[in-house]
Amino acid sequence: MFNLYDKVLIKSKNVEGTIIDIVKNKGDTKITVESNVKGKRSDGYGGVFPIFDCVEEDLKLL
Amino acid sequence: MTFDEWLDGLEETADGKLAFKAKKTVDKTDKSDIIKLSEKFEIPPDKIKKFLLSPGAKHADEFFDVGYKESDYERLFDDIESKFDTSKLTDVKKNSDGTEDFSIFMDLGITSKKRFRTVWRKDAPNGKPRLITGHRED
Repeated sequence: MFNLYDKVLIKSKNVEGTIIDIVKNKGDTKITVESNVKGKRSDGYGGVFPIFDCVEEDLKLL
Repeated sequence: MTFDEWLDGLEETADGKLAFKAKKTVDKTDKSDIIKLSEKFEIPPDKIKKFLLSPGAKHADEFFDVGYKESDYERLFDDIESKFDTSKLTDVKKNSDGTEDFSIFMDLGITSKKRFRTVWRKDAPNGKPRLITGHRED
């Protein structure tokens, strides 16, 4: 169970970030994590703090 | 509700019938006490109070550096509202689950103005965008 603004590790990307949005839809939970590391990435949305849509199983609480 | 909004709430099931879509829900822990409203968008108070202007939070110093204080929730909300211009959308991304993300750059600040990226999410095509993050970006 994760909460907004928890600090987490995205395991598949080895990226540390902060949870900035949680949306539940049809039993699925989409957790959006903003990278805590400054720097654009092609696999993330946005700019210098890219964001990633994740599933719970791919996150680890820090 | 308009006909288009009603229609948008339907989807085809596996057996070819029409059914109402399951309702998306957003974590309510961030939406408990909305005290300022906008026709254009939604900003849960905690997004500002517990994130953007919360001492120690990752982007708080970027806002404090341009003059906002921890207590400036309403001021920051109003500043974002005055700068929210849908003709300036950038990085629009339509997601497979029907949500849409976009950014708007805006100059924010009290003692000085700096360029911030604000990131928004729409849960449905006709829905109000929600602010999900904001930070300095030149």
